[in-house]
Amino acid sequence: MHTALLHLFDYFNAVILLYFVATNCVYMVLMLICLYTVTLHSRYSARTAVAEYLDSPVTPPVALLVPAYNEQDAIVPTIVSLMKLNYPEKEIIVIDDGSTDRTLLNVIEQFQLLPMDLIYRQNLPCNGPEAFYYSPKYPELLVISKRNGGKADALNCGINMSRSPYFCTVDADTVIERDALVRLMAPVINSNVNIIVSGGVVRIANGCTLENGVLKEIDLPRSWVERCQIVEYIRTFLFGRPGWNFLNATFIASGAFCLLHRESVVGAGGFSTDTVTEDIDIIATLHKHMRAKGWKYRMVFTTDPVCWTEAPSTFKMLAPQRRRWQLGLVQTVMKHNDIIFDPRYGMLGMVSMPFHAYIEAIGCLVEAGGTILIPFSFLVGAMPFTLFLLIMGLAVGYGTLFSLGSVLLEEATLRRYPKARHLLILVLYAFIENFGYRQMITFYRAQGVIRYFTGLRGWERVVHRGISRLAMAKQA
Amino acid sequence: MILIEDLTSFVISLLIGIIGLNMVFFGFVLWRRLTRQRFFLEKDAARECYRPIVQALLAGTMSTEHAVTVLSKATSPAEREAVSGLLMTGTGEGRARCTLVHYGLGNVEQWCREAFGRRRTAELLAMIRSNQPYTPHDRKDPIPQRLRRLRMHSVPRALALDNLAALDPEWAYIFCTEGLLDASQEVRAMSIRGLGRTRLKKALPGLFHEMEKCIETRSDLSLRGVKTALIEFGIEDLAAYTPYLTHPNHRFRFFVVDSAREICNRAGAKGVLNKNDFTPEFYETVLKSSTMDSFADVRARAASIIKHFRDAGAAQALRQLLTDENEYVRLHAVRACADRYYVSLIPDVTKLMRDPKWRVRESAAEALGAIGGGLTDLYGEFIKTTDLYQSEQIAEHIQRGGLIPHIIAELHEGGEARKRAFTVVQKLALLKKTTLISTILEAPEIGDEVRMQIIQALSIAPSRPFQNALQAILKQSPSPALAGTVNAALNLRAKGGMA
Repeated sequence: MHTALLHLFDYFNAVILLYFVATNCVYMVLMLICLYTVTLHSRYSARTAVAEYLDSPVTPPVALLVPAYNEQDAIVPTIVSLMKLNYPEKEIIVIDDGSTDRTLLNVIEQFQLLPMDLIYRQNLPCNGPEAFYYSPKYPELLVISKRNGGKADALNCGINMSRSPYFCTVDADTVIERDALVRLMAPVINSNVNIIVSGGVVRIANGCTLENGVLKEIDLPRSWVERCQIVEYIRTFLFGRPGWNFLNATFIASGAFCLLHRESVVGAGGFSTDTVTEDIDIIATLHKHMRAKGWKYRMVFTTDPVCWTEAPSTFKMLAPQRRRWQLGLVQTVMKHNDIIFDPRYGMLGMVSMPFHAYIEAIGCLVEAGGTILIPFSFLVGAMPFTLFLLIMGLAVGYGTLFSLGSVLLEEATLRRYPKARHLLILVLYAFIENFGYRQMITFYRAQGVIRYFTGLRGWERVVHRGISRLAMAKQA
Repeated sequence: MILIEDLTSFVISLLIGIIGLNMVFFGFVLWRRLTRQRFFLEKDAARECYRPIVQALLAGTMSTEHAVTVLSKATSPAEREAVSGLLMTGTGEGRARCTLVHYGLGNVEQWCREAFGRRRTAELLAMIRSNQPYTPHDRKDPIPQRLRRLRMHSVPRALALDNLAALDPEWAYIFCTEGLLDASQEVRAMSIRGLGRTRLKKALPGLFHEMEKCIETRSDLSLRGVKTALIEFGIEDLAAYTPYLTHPNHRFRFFVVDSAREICNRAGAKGVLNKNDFTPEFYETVLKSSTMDSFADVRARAASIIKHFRDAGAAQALRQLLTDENEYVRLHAVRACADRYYVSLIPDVTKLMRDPKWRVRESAAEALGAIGGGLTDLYGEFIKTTDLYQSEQIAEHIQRGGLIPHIIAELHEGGEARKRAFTVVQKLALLKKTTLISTILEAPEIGDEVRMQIIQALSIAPSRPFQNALQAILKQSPSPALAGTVNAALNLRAKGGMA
């Protein structure tokens, strides 16, 4: 019995090793690609004529869609920040998705909006609007009030009401940097192929000071959970997504700040309500739609447009968010599994989608198993101490390497964290996050996968403190 | 089977490698932070130090030779970057002087070498020195095009060309034209942008040629990028666009007309234009040829140019385009009429309020609002029409365009205006578009008399928001007359008068 168990451990350890090697090889390649592309892009985009785009009539109008559900603290600063964006022609459409708090009232009071009966045509399926609020004083802003139907439903409602050829999805707890929208649009303007998705970088606003909808001072939060997330976001956005973009295999774009081509999205049937991460699902849906039609298209990810969002500040708040993300990822890869290893989709079908399905989506079960079994193997004597230490060292070493690599990219390109102290803390947390934080995230992700297979597929709400409150707390 | 313990030596070496790489990264991060900090401090100091020199140069109080002598003391990369940045701020004659200083400092040669190589640099600079026209070279590039296109190589070339494009227009023209021959899309995009910024008429054929290639999908450049360069030119340059307005390719004609439209709109935003701002050839071609074009999009965009002519011929052409069979032509034509000059076209625009396409109807409503006197026609059309879509369109315009205060003002006025406004409110009630006016009804500031009139008008089809507004008025302790009207309206609802 004991021998059989040891053999079982050996086999499982081999699977873990295989997973470990595959994952780190892909990440290594992505890191090298990103060190190359992000640095060059940064140099090139520094000369991008943002001022020319702002003045140019060829810059397409954009609708900023802000779905909001119980965001009473965050919504007003978000709208103010959107109004201050440097962009020639934009419409801001806030969709109150049946909030039960003061979200709608706060917006109406702040912007002196009046109720109106406007024309609405239902192109995409959604819960229809119950009321429109508008003020000639703020002609860019339109607020729609509707029955609760989820984020995808709210976005579809906003698309139905928008008139611009492009729309940008913005989370209600997000503050966008002033030039970020025009930088997000730059690839669209500069491309000879139809760009249907353009994604930007999302950063964590916790710890920063916000004043009148503008980020006044960038600082780091105090709690280690938030600091670990900062390193994690830098890693994701500086060497995950640009790498896939380089390979023309974008599969994920963050819905917190993403530009989409309206006609293509409407043609693809809009945002789907059958997954809990509509932003991941729409990318796969669009890939399929465009390939089916035989139209040339591109999805791009650039690192210079930056938005700031509020991150969960405790593990209790973080857990539901990560479970939902993982559940959504699994739902999406299962829904679009026909793309996996389909050569018609190029790098997306042959590399990106299999990686996201087997490593990112399902693979976290192996990772979680490894997190438990490797120390367990050592404890029951199935693994020598030196080997245990080596494996742990390797895991920490690789984890630190990728995080440190992304901090390096951040320092070489965006340099958003101004103080030397910030940099040292980021470097420190690139190391610290390997002890506890990563393991917790792995377990939450594994829970998300288990939820998929056990049928618990509902949306778990993440409670935010609100950006404005964060800012006030900071000021106090 | 290979087990983990069999790989111990491999794992150890891997671990050492990873730790080593981590240390390298860590060292690089720190080194980068320290050097960049030092670099920017040095650059700021250099900028402050050399700013008076460059200002004197731009003002013409210092000779270029003297400036070169002084500025050549800036030797470190930070100082050189600061000086280059300061010299890039020059415009007009100052730009020409700065170019000479750049040349004297060796910047031009350095950028040119980075962009085109040593051999070609000598040729290009010789062309500039001897004031010869640009001539392309016919040598075969020894470096494979695929290699040239690698971003690793192309980005430095593109950045160098961006610097060259900021020089005196005559110099920039030569460098940017040469840049168009580059294999990399990024370098050519910079060239296009630079050619646009020169605003030299001789750059236009090259830009139109690139546009043609984009349209015929022979180029990897962005059509928007080429168009952006084309609209850098001013209204005085539009004469050079005239031959291209009759190009055989209909898409090409469209983009030319569209670029001209943008130029006109930009100039129009600064001051009112008229026929005399354009050359007779351009005027005639747009009026006679573009408005009759076989491609509807050309006709549509031509309408937006014609509106700036502001003469009888323009009005006649717009009248014709307002009845075009294509909806987009009508749409652009009706938008073009949104100008007080075209008061004579109000009846034609009003007719479009019955257009089968909602966008045209919407623009017609907006145009009537913009013309000013058109509001009377707008209300008249709103009252008269039986078309639901048209009514909805005007109702939306009344709400979003902020016309409710205007209607209330007319209710105050009395006479015909009051009668018309009263009927407009009744029509809004029939369309169930009463949320806004009901909200306004609650405000005591509009006066009891107007409130009573609105109540009477809305009573034709009482809606939920209207009922709520009535209840709110009763809570405000209204005057007996107003209270009587409110109660009468509420009784009407009690008798089953709710719409």
